[in-house]
Amino acid sequence: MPKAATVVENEEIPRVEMVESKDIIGTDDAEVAPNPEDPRAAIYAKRDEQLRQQAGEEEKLEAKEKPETKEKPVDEEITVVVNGREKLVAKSRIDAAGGVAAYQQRAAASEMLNQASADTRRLREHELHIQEREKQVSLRENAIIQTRNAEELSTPDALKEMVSEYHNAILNGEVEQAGSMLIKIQTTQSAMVVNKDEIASNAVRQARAEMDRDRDKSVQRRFEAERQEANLDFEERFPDVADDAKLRSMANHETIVIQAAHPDWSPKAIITEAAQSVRKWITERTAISSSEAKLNLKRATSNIRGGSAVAATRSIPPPQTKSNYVEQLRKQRGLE
Amino acid sequence: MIDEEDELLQIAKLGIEAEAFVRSPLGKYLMLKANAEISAAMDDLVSADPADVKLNTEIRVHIHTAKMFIIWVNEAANIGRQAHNQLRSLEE
Repeated sequence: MPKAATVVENEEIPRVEMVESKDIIGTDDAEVAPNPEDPRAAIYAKRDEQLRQQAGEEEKLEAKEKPETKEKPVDEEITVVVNGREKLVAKSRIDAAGGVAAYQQRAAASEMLNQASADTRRLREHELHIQEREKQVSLRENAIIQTRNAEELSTPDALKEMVSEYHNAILNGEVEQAGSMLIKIQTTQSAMVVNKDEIASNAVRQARAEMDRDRDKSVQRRFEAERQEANLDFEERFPDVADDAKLRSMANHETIVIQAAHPDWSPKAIITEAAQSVRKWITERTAISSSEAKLNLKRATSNIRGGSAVAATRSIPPPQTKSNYVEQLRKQRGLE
Repeated sequence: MIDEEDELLQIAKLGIEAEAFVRSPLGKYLMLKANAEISAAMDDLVSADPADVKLNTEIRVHIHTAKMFIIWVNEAANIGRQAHNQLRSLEE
């Protein structure tokens, strides 16, 4: 644009310079009538002539070097249709292009070239993107194969079909279909992974629950066995309490209180403590001497333990004979 | 020895069945019928013509049949008791 500006002022340059020279010199310019008496008038006139010639040569050179700049002075704008679109174009540019038709051809060619270059750039970017996706796909494929080989998992048929379709799409150059198939494969695999995790967590949860149940059962069984053993021990060690229904109920109630107070105690300790407390209560209530208490305890004892006691042998019935059998038959038939 | 005892046992069981039969209502009825048949046949035999051989023979057959019924039942009961006694003696 600066060049154009200079070209626009081409015709005014001499005038401006003449004005400047007049200001400097303090005389009128060429339009003003020269004073014939001034001795410098001839010199100025000659110099003006040289300047004009010089300016005309420069103008011609610039016009030759930049012919389009000559169009600038014409600021008219013409509506031109390029590729179906109207736009205002300076007439100078149209003239420089060699007419409207030529300008239209050049503009259309330029736009098409720009569009083609943009398309080429997009295609390159797309190609790079596809190459990157293919790399990811190949990595993922290798990972799938390694996982399959390592775990020897039986891949579902649907996944196999998807993988084969994906390969076919890659071989046929159907990039979009290959991408969609890859997304499907990844989704399916992630779902399979999730399912495996869920199954594993469920299995672990069930196993833990089962172990807890078994542990509870074993604890209950152990507690029941200890309770029964403690009960036998209680009946053996505290017969005075065990044989009396009221005292036994008191001891039972006392076991509940003791267990609530000492939940970590064993059944034997709880029952023993309860029996001792009941016995202590009896002692305090009766307030009798220890010898009498022992005597009473012995008297109250129904389970007498004897060191020399021998269990009586049961009489073995004689083997049944045939005559006895006949007698039994006769009795059964009411003959005797 | 074992076979003899088994045989005696079977005979004793048969005697028991015979005694039980005689004491059963059916046994009592049949025994009464047999005795009644015998007594009636005896009356017929007394009043029958001795020269009528055929009639006397028929009456005697009736008496013999009724007697044999009673004899066979009693015989089974008696043999059973004897077998029981033999068993006792063998076991002692």
